[in-house]
Amino acid sequence: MSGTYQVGIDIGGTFTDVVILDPGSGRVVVGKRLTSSDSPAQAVIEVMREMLERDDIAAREVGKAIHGTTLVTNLIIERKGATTGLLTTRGFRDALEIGREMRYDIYDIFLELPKPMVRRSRRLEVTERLDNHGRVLIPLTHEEAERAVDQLLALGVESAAVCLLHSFRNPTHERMLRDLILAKRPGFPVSISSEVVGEVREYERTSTTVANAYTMPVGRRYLGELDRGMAELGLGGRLYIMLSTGGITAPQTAAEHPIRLLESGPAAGALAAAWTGKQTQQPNVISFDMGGTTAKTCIIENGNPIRVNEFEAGRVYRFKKGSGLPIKIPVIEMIEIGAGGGSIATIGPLGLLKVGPESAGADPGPACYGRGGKGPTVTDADLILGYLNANFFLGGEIKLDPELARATLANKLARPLNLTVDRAAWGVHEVVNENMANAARIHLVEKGLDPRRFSLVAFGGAGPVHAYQVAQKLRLETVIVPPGAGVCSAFGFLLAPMAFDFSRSYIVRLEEVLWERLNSIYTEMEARGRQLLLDAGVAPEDVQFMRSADMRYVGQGFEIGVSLPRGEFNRESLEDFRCAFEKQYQSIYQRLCPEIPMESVNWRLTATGPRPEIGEAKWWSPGVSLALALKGERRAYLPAEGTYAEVPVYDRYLLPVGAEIEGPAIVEERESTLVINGPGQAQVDEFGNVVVRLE
Amino acid sequence: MSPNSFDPITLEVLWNRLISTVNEQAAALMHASFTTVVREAGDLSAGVFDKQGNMLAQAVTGTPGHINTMATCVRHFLREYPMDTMQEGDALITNDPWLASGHYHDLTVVTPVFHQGRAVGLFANTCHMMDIGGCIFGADASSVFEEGLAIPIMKLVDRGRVNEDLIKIIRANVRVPQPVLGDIYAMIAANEVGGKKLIEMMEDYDLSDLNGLSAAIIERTERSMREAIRAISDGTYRHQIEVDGFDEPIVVKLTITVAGDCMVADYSGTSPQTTRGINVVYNYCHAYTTYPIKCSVSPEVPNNEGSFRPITVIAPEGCILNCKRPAPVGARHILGHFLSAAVFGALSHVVPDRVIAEGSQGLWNTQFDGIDERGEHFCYVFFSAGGTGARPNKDGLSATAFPSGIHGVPAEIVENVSPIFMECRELIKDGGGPGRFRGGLGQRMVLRVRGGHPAQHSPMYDRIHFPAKGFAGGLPGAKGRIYLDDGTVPHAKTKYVLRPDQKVTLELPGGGGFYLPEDRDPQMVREDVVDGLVSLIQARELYRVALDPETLELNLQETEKLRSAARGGQ
Repeated sequence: MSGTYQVGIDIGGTFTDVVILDPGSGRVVVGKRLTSSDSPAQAVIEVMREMLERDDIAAREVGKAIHGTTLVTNLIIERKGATTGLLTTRGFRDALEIGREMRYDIYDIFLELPKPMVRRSRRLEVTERLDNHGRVLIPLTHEEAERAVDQLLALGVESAAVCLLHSFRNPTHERMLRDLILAKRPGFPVSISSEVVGEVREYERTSTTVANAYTMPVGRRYLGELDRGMAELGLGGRLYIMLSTGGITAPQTAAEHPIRLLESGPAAGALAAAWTGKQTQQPNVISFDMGGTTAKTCIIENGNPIRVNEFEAGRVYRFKKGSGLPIKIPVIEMIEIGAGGGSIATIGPLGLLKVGPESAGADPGPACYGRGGKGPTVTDADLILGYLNANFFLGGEIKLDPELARATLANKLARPLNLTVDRAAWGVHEVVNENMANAARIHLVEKGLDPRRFSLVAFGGAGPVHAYQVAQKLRLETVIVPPGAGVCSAFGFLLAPMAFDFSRSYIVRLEEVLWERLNSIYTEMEARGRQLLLDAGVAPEDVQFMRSADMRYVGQGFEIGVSLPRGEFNRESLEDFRCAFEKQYQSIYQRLCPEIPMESVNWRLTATGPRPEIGEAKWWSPGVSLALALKGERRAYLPAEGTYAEVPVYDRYLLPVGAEIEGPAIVEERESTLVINGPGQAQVDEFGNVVVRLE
Repeated sequence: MSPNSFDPITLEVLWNRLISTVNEQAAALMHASFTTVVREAGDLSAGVFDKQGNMLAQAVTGTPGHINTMATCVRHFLREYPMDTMQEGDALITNDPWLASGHYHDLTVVTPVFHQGRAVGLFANTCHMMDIGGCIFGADASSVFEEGLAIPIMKLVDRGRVNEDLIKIIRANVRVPQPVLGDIYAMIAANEVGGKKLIEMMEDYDLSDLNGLSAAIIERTERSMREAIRAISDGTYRHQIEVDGFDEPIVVKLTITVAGDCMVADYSGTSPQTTRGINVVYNYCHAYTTYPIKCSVSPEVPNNEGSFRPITVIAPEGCILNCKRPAPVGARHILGHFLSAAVFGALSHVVPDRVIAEGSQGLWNTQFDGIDERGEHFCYVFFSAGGTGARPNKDGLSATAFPSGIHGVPAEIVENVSPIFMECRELIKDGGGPGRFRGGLGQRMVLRVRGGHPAQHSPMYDRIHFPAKGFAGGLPGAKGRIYLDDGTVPHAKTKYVLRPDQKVTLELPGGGGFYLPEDRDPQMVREDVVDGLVSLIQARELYRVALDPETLELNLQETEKLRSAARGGQ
């Protein structure tokens, strides 16, 4: 692969980031520009062209380009998707609106529910019915299908969704409707639930299918433009699209399943964290990405980010679980809380200190930016505590004013709470860290994992500032701060293997599994997976399969993921299944349930190509000596002592490999600051990571 | 430590941690549960208590009827088993309606937590069981003895060993032992998960007990609740509602008195207890009275012992809201869910912008039992919601539970775990009470039971006779209906047998409107007509909006005429 450049492209809400890596030399070049909401594809092409010219790279030498985007997510949040129509089983067009009949906050009598993406007048019913085994109770006649499709198309919709009851057991009727739509309007965007998400629960399945239909026209257009644009640039290799799972796929496949791209940006960040963990021999890491308005965390176990099969999009309240639309897609599980550098601290109704989720954002930003922000924000507190360098924020791009920070903390927090300004500042820092640690803790508990086996990988502008304290709260021993915190996601794109996920519902007690049927399910999924991978250019010998099943005790409704062995299943497999389930179950719930049989609900397959070889990316050239890297000392707050002390400050770009730093210490770089405000040893490894061992 | 030894930062941190602990407890419970009642419908509560039995935090999921009753009942456990008699590895259980949450179907499990060899607090959770024996979940028993197995407060687990005698008795009494026993194991496990997390927190913050933290949390909450009450004008505010009852209408009379930072809710004058299972125990009445008060007065403060202290609930003994043993109480939720309507009605006299109009209120609980397609006994219950009342600033919510906090169950799940078959589940046109803000719509369900055997249907439905009233000029929502396909109208609270070829249709009530319908934005009326939520006739006759019957175009001039005629006519 030497001499073949690899490109990662991340379109975020604010910035479009591009990273080009030469795996041979390890050289990394980075490009950034504001995201263009009108022509996002065009902006990518332009920044690519500029970078290739600037760094003198021939387009044909680019081996592959991998791209992820928040575009699909934003379509749903801003409700700017296509006018969509829905066909449902007669009697069930309101499944989308009735939802789960619940209020996501039991005390808020004024709450709003998320509005369905298809209004009622565009939800049409079709006479047909299957039972829960997929047997046809009322056949779908050709005349009825014809009538329904004509009526739907006459509504002038731009995209169609079809979700029939129990269709995941038997997709015949859904396929009939789809084929009829395509016969009448070749190329029309149609999403059918049995293909978008073959899982039980009509509300969640309809919601997911509708979201896919809603975003498909824009997705197709955008991905098509991008693909053509890349070809016009004369790229040597192909363009791939990153999925929410961290896998990648061809643009044509992605265009048919745009909802699988929903979380592709954060997924890339998780892959970057996993990679950092691998470099530092830490297979179990918690990624901690703290930016201006939010902090995101994800758990990586044995080098793999934990994935789940549900997600919520377009929440009424961004941080309120249940206030969004359920989307059942495989996704790297990410917990997001409203805690970032710009989060505003207030005094809550109980007279206690609260931080976030309201944020001052980047504009006007924290009070200390001096742009009219009223604060007090987390960044204001961090500045008062001596953690940030007033003259070297974003490399000195923004001068921070400590007096403005002190004034706002004094007026809004310290005085009303009867605390000193320093105590209030520490309080803001502490509360935000606790919120973050709580989020990570629940996340770990739900998976039955012990935090102490994990290390924290911190990035984002504010991540390294808070990482040491968060790690302490979670009782972690190690914090790793990789270089290039600002473009972590774009870099993560280069780390994704080609991967496809499949699942089939076949609810069966373990002792009643029809082994032939199960084998044929896997044969079929593996054939499809293999074909998609081969189409995407993977060599046949590199195709790998991973099997798992969602299992539970009979009668339970939540399943736990259990890995399954490869090869033919037969009666002897039963014991393997049982043991794998019990081991997993006990680790989560402490006790097994005697006398209750087990069953499996969904059978899953992940088909992957090889992990990409990216060699050793070099972000920086190491410095000569620790002494030269020492910038000076600064007064910083040390919580264990409850007071300020002079703490050495280092320039990260001048640190030599192997440099050892004794905490307390501060390490500054352009995009972030590593704060070690207690005892601990930091060491710079050969990849440029700063690895902090807590005591 | 005294309450003052926590500064506002430490307290915030510890408090959040405590709430996250009970959320973990609830998550474990729902994930390990064997019934759709607990995991899909969320008919549960989970909380942590101090040594005195004061509730410190509750999980954010759950339903008020369980949360607030659990808060009271932990004290009863402690009276029976004082803290210093309990051992590590113990867990207690009861389903006594008068001590816990009002009917036998709810089990409460309480587990002490030990730290450094000493009991420091308790975890509790309450869940609705799929069956508890007796004459099946319903409203028509004539004494509590018919309603199932009684489990007085006793040990479920003794120093780590499950009480096998009790398990045997339960297994022998219930129709479907597996999900019932499975859920009991889940309840034990959930409290253990919570306990483990609590100990970690105490270690992290070097707490040897919860006394100081408990005092600080309760004191802050109580103070904030009192301040919120003080902000409401002193006075006496009355309201009266009428409810279908079993055979005779029931009158609920409520007098709320605000005096300084205290509030008294007095139900004197309410109908006496009846001979059928819709009686409410005091605990449950207390729970569903304090809940809507909190929603109006102080919704953002976490719920704990401190939220209850400033509120006194009075229900004379022997009235239907404080029934005496052995009154039947199986379907006590029906009336319990109506109390929020009485509370909001009374509070509307003083804080009209912080109440909502009457909604369908009582959850519609559908219980079936019989023989399934495999010839086995089945027993299944699911809960459904009508429309909520309109709000003073927005429409009500269609097919959404209030005041109950439960969730619905998908048709595909119902059909997968039971022989019940749903022919349709749809919103009912014109079901929402007209108003400037429209009440939420109810839903229509058509059900039958597969398998060729007759099945017993136990309906627990209300608002067949009395619709949800609107507020401030808003009109009532549609009444509820139950009927069979041959036109027979079964009693809405009495079990009957549904033949294999019969269908039963349920039409759930809509919520009442808020303000006059002719003040509704004509464009919003048009949107509702386009979406089939409101008929052209209702648009014209009640909202006074003229639409072209073909194109549904809005005729503003004509609308103005209709509306001024309506106003002039008053």
